[in-house]
Amino acid sequence: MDTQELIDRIKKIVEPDYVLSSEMDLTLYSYDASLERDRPEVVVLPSSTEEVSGVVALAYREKIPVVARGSGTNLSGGTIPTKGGIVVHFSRMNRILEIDIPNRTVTVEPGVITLDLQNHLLNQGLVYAPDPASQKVSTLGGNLGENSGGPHCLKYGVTTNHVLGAEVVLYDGTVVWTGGKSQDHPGYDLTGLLVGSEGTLGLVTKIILKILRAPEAIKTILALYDTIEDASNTVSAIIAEGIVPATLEMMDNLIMTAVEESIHAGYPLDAAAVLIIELDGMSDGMDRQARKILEVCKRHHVREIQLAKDDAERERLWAGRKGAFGAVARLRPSYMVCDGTVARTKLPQVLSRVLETGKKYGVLIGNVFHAGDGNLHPLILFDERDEAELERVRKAASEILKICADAGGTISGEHGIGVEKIKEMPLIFSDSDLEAMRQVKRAFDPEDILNPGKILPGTLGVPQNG
Amino acid sequence: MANSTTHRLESLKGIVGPEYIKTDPETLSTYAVDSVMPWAVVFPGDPGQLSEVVRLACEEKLALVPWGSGSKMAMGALPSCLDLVICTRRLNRILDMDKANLTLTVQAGVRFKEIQSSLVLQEKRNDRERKGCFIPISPPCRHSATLGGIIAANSSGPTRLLYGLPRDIVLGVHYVGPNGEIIRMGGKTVKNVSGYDMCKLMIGSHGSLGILCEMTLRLLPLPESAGTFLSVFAGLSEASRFVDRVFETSLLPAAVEILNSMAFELMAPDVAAGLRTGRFAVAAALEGFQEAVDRMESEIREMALESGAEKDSYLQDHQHHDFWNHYSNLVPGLSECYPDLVSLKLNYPISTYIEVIELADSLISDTQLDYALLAHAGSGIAQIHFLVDQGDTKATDRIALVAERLLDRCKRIGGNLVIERAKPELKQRLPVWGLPREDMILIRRIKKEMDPLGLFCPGRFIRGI
Repeated sequence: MDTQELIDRIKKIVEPDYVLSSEMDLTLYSYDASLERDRPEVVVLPSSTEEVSGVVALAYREKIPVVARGSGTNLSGGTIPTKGGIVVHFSRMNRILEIDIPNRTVTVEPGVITLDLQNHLLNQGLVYAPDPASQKVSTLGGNLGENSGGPHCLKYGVTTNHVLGAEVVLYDGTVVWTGGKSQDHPGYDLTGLLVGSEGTLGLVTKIILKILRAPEAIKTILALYDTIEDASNTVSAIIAEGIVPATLEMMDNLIMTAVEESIHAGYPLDAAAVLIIELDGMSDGMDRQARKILEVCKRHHVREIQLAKDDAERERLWAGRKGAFGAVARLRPSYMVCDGTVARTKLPQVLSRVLETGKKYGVLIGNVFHAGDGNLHPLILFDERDEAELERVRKAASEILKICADAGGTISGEHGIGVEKIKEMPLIFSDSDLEAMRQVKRAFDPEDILNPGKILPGTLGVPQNG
Repeated sequence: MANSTTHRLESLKGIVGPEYIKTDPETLSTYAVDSVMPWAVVFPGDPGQLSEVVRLACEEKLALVPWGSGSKMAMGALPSCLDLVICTRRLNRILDMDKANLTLTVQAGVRFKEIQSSLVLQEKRNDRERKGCFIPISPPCRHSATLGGIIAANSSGPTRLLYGLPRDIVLGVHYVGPNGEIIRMGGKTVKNVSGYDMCKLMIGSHGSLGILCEMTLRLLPLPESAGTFLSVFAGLSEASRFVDRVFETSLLPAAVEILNSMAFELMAPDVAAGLRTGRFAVAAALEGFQEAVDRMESEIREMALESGAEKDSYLQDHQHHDFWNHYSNLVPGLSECYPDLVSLKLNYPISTYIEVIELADSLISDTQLDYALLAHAGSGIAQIHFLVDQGDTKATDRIALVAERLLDRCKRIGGNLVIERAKPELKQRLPVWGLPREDMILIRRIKKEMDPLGLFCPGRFIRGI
């Protein structure tokens, strides 16, 4: 089927205004927050499960790739249509369908913006815990596809710990529900498999999420250090004290400097690292926990401690962390963020090797990351127009992932494999491991229609006789 | 046939050593699955041997059933065929107890109780005391259950309310897949999105896709303080009024259990002494920092009294631990006194618990059978145990009728009903895993792709896969 015929056929399923194929449209949908680029043949903005099902069924009959997309904030190229085909953009399926307080669930369409849901819930004293840094723009469908994390995941777990069920359009357009409001359904945990599958197993069209009561008390502490080692050692020591804070975030000097220039959060320019430590939960005993934390910080030579006295101060302490990715643009126009994750006691050792790698390849690296769960985010800064530098950046990134894998960690904590890290998959998986994952892919998508060419290296071995 | 059996036996002996394969009638009947006897029981000593045993079984097309301590072997439909039982008892090494990172890596045959006891011990290092930690699940049969069995069966218990489910704490698994390969998924980090989350697939797969040989779990620091508030109410409506009030507050109890009078008598005979039937008790586990536990105790007590509690009691220290140990060991204890014990597990949306428990109570009252009911309020799960006297031939009919009605109701409100323990006669009459849902097409496809010869627990799991 030629492209024009495909477009015409899709226009019979989805309102023609929402089928995009101009040069500009195709260019706009050719990138995400990673460095990868590739154009689709057509972009569809469906308004209902039925329309998604119709488009996928057509794609299946015609063997055309389908790539699901939210806001495109993903950092590993997962939404790049590397094999062309149809991009299904969920921006119009953005309704909060139901808030069910007695069952502690909310049912949403995948295009709902993460922060919109969170603000909506907070008005009723409720929270949806996962808080990826991109929550202002990211969609819940995207969060599900990537199994997104965020600062508060240290205590509350990542997206998968909050997804109870999903309505899914399968490879041939069939629509099924997995999971649901009731827990412990007998059978395989298909919802658990779908979360983090980057749109390669199905297109999720409704999601049931777990909601919690908002904590009655929050305490935010900012701790400044003269060495990165002291800051990293504090992280492990707090948890050894029997306290699991809601967040344990770290930024190094390079990031703090950039943040200070853009946001003026009040960080001293000569400190080596800052920790943002937040406690939440019942108010009783929280002061004592905070005192314990201050003692731990002092034991690890903290230079200065700030404690937020009210919401405004809390906002100020967080502003720097939340603005960090944006702020680094002041230093260099582009960045690549690695996402390797290690056991948190390995942080001091791994961080110093990351900085050595930066020196080795002559690239600038800043660190802003979820220290509590060992999830590094070295930002390698560069100028995309400089081809030679870009090559050095890619090499440095790959080496950093290897450092994490060698330290017993993994190559992606929350950003996904996409296309960017496919070549590093063998660092942590054997052929048999990868083959087991291919079996799952074949069970869900026997003809390799859904977001092909992502996550799994090598060929899928799709049998010709189908 | 006899020749090939001898040949297989020799090959298996070559892998595990002659003393670790049993074919004597006594052992075979101990390891019978729903009265179906295997022709051999194998005890591999490490993952490599396990892998070779499975590879051989695959080549010879032998039907396998993995077996930990056997505490959950009553779960499942009748096997459609069975050649080998593979017992993980000797895979009992603790590979990595990393209290600083709050992770634990063990082989599948490690027993929950043993490892939990060693985790809670505090240790001194560099002049600093490191606090004890624990595996934050509260599975049934904690005395005997192995971690492999707990994960394979997706076992959970009362504290799932605060700490979550096996899916929330399993960070990595190694399993032997149907062709004998050892597959390694996940790792030691809490965050991990490298590849598909295959750990989720293994949790609750009941041995139908592979045999777990190793797993890494997330630990939590031991709570500073813990206690259990018990209260007794005249009826379900009073008990549920209390429970609903607790959930409307910002208090964070670790568990809130609703028990019928029989269950309560079995669990806390002292407190339950002289209790009339028809009563419902609520047990709330309170865990956390001292100040928070103290406040929960006093506020919860007040709410209980205002909701009409007839009696209350607060258990601390060993009394608290004894109570929940008792809870965990209820089924093994009961099944000793009542070999014909029938256990049902119902799941339903959290908010519908009153209608489900009311229906169960009224249906079962008509049968004149003794039964213990325990519901995880706040999680939408209830367990019903029928204390069937041996030789009560009419019980099966009555239980089947009750189970059908309850399944029908649970299904209508979006839940299900699993028969977790019953004699083969009852299992043959009812859908053991409840009614399948629309995702069954995917479940079948996964099973077919991953175990194409259908050698892993054939017939036992949902819809006979």
